[in-house]
Amino acid sequence: MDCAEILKILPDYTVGALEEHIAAHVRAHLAECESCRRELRALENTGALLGPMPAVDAPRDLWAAIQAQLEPRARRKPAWRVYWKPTVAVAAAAAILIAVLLAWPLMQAPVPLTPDLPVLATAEGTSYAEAQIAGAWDQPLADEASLALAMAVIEPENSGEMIQ
Amino acid sequence: MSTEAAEEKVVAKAQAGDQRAFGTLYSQYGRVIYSIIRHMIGNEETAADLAQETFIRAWRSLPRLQEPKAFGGWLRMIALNLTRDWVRADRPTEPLDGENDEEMARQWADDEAGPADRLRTSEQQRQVTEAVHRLNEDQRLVIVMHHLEGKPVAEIGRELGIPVGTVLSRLARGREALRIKLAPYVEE
Ligand SMILES: [Zn+2]
Repeated sequence: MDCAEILKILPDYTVGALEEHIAAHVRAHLAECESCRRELRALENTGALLGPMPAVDAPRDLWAAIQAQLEPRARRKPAWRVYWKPTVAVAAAAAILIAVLLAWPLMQAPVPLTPDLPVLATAEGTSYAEAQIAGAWDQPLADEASLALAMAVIEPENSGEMIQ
Repeated sequence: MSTEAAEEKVVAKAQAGDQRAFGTLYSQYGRVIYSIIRHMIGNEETAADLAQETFIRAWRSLPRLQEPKAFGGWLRMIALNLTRDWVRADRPTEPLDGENDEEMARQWADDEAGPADRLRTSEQQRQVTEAVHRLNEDQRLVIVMHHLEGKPVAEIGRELGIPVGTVLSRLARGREALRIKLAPYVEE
């Protein structure tokens, strides 16, 4: 490899993105070539210039300030609540009564149970978000609790190797 | 349930209008968003304002977020773009003239680094921030997550839903672009 070829892949070499046999070629060239070594140092200095930043706590009242400015968004309601108006209710009650009377003889016969469908097998046209909400409908706190738990477990192992 | 899956559910609830779920996302991301902005701007008060604006804009745009699992990267991009716009807006450069100079010189008198060093450092920091802001979004995001936040590449790949090889190649191209823009500071 000549200098031009080396310089082209030197940034990838710097961050450890090259396959080992190519990296070996680069190392061999660097051992011989002062000008490419100088370029390597410039790339490494660039990395050193970038950080890390100190992580600092946000002001304590920041969430309160944010929350005060969140416009309410129409939350999706279950269909029965949208249509549950008094006039509709009377008609619905009458319809249910008639249906029960008509269906009474049928209800004496055994009815096969419908198995529960998996949440992620969403029907065509159902958004992913709706599927997620449906999944959590009966356990409103499950997601927060498991997220907090997962965070607690994951937080301490942030100390992976850094590219310099 | 994995962290990612748990977070996706919280994001979906926030998308549907649940402010409490959005509060959970704030407790997860508030600190890092504030830290990034503050690091780039160097001013607590403005950083708090911009962090606040970041979350308010995120709340408004959340229903349009296609991939709930992309929330973290998407939120950082809102913060980075707001920060860039703030930095670039036409405003007087604060402490570089008149009485402020003397004031700063007095504050620095006891420091180990003299005023000249401090001025050079703050100018260097400004140049670094500007160079980062000029990167394309993909490169900017991985550079910030890896170099500023100190996240390992595997974790970045998981969070952004991209292969580690892609993270590395964005880091390499970003590094290459920054090395050229920051030549006076990095060449020996
Ligand atoms: Zn060479």
